[in-house]
Amino acid sequence: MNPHLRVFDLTQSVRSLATCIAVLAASLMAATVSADEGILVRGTGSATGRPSQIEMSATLSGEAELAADAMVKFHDAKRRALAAIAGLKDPDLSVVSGGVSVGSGTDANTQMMMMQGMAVPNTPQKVRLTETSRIVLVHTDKLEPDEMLSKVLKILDVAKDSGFQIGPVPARNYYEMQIRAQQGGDGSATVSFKLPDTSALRERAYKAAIDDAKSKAQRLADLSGAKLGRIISVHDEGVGNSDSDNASMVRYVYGMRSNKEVEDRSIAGSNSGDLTLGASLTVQFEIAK
Amino acid sequence: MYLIVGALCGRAARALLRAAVVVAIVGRIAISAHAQVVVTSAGVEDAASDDQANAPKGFAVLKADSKIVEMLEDFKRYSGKKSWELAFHALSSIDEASSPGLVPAGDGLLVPIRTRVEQCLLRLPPEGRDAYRVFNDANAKQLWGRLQDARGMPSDELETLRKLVEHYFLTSVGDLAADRLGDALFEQGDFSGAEGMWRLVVEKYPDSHLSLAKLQVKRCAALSQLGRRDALLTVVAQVREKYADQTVTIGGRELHAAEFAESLVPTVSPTQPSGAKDGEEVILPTADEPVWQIRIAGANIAGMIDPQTGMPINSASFRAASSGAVDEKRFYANWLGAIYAADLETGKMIWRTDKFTDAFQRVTTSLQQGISPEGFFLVAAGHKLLAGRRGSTNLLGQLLGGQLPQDNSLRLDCLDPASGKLVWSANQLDATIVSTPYVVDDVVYVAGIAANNSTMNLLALSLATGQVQWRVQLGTPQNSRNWRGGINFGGPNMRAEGGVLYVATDNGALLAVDLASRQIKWALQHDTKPPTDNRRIFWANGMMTTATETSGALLDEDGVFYLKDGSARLLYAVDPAAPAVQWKRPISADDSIVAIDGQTAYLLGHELSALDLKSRNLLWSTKLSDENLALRPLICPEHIFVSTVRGIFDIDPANGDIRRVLRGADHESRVCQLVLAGDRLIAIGDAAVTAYPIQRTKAVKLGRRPTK
Repeated sequence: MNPHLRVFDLTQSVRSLATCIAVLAASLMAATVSADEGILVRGTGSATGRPSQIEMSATLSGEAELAADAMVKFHDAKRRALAAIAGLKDPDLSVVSGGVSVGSGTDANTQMMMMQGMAVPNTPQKVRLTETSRIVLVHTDKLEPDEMLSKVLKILDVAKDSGFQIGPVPARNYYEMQIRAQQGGDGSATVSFKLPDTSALRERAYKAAIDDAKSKAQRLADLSGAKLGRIISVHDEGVGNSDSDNASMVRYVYGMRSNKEVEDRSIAGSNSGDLTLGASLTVQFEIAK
Repeated sequence: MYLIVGALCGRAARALLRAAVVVAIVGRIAISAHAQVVVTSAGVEDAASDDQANAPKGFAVLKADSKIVEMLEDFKRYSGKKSWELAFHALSSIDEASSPGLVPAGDGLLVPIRTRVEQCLLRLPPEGRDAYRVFNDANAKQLWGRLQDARGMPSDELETLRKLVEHYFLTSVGDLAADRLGDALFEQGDFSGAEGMWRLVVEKYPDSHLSLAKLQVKRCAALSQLGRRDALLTVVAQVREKYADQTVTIGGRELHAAEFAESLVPTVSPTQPSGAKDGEEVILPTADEPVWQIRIAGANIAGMIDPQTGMPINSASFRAASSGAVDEKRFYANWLGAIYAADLETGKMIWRTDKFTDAFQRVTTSLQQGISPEGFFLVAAGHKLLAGRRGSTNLLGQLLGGQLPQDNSLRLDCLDPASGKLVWSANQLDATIVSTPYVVDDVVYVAGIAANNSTMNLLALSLATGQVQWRVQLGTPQNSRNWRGGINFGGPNMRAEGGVLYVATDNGALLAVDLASRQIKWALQHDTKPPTDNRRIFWANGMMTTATETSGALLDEDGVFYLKDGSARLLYAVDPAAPAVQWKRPISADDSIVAIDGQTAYLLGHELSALDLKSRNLLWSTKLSDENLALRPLICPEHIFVSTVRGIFDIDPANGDIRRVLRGADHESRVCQLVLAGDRLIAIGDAAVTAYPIQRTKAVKLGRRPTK
């Protein structure tokens, strides 16, 4: 090939590349320039609703050195407990199983001795079958408060008499107690008042948050002598908490699951009053020219 | 030339080098292999020694001198070589008198030296037995001849017969002596001893000329008298199989062996629970209202701070429940040493030994001095009350035989049930009582830790006077002190049968003490709770008291003992007559065997469970409250009553279903004992004693429970 032609082709390529880079840089600069303009505010809103469902965490377990014994204990406990709940003959009452786990039971003293670095006695491990269920009573929003309370206490009595462990399993040692405390009130109450479907509440909360953002942005625009334009972006900050580093590490060591379920759109509280759903949005408005 | 030499040297050097490398490689492999073998064998030894080191260390029984064991080993060795003279010489060299103690007999059993010698002789092969007769027949025949020649019953007949059986059983007259000894014991009412003698001839005497059919039929008679139905059925089946056509002469009458044996089998009747009469069913009241209630200042204890830990007192750290006893008209209780009597109908207090207003002081003293609340026992026996309590610690009381304030031992007092007055006080025992008294034939048996050497002794006291009649050292317990510094109470359990007192130490040993000879017949070392550190367990600047331990148990059913130490993991079935462990089974360390009804054993921990003793399968399990209070359920026809923090549960023994729960009128205290007395169900708690009215009706259906 003619070397002169080769040089010509190379020059063309370089030019094309330079052109692309320039266009790209320009767009970036434009974007950068856009992010700095406008009014960025955070709007919050909330909506309240009456809980329509009551849930109680109920645990059944069977523990023994022989697996066959553990099975007998677990199955008998489950049969009796479910029969006792069914015996209440309430169509709104149900037991939702969370599945059975099989583990090795270790008594609290041995755990604490291990934590403290003491020599532990060489004892055989036990087989422990555990099933954590939820006792669910629906349509509680249709009940009077006294009637609801009476029903809940009756269910608690029957469940405890029949062998259910109601509420979260007691901490077996000081470290578990620490994690529970760091997690705050969620998961520690015996009875949880819940609103399973929060779609309508979310709508209202979002609307309130947008309205709040608009009013704040308008106020800022007025103070700045600018004219508020359209909404450029909205960021949903959501609600919720996360574990501390220590709690995450200890949960990892123990193999404990987080209490928070993925995609849980329900809200719950520990008392029977109205539940509040909050929304927090970061909204960016354009400044109109 | 030099090049050639050099080349040759070079080749040689290279060859030498290659050889050296090969040797090094092979040698390294050999060394490594040897190292692997050493490591492996050392690993195995370490594992074995680890198992030994980790095996629960419990009660140490007094063992015989190791020389005795060596002599027994010599006997076994010479017997194996058929050097009979040397073998019997080794046995005769054993001086039992110089070395008190027991020798191992395999499977955890320890027996007296004489018993071990007998066992060794019984295992001789035929030629060994023949040799034994050559050496010993003359002496045996001489003794036997004296008995035969004597007119009537010689005064030393029993002693001579025992000597013949113990020392000359394998001689030509040994079976005759054992049979005659069995007859003598049967006439005296020692059916267990009689059955043992006849069984010895049937099972251990190889070539007896006695009628085996007659011996087996006589065994059936003894077993029938003992009420050992299962063993009786086994022997009856043997008679039916082997001697179906034979006749035997008993009491001058000629009887068909199999038919007579079968006629001795009693008809099946349900085990009667404590307090329930034949065919009666006990029905709980429908209302929670009691007939009467006695409150014991429980409110003073709630909220108290443990002076040793600084933590609030809870049921795990201290439980002040009363011990109770009843007779036809009265209820008696011992609350931390304050003993009182109340009318069974009205609950009105008739007498008391102390006021309850000093409850706070009693609890504080008990906690500070590590006194186990279980040590405040109360036993009704022979129109007397036996109580555990502290002696008077004031100056006048000390002058009159009380005890020093710093003395944390409990004494055994005998009170008159009519007035509460002291009849006698056993205050010179030189031992700390660690068991509830067990009364047999007007003799009070207690286990005590000797003050001077920390050994456990069995003491026999006169019920009439409280004087110590005799004592025997059982051995040395491990970890006999609790974490408060006091001595643990409540461990040893006792059972008497056939002139033998069986003591389960709850420390890894079951001992059989012959009450006539006051000697240990045998001991069984078994699994027990892991050794615990007496230190308190700390956590993060606070203190955590250890959880309440389950109590040990020794129960018997149909001639078999069922044994489990507190917080141990194995349940044993022991044949005390053999003695031998029939079987052992793991159950939870949190469970305690609390009752046996027929072929079903009831285990109580976090659940009440039923265990079939034949198949050893768990039949059912009923979850109770979370707290493990080591209670004792009340077994009645068609009902099991268990007291929990949520009330008294009425449980169906067939399947464990909860029929109903009586909440009761005592919600503040934890009820630890249920007692049935007349038409009253008395619930004894740590804050109150409550009596509920019950109904007694004809039971709808009775009989054996279905097994899975």
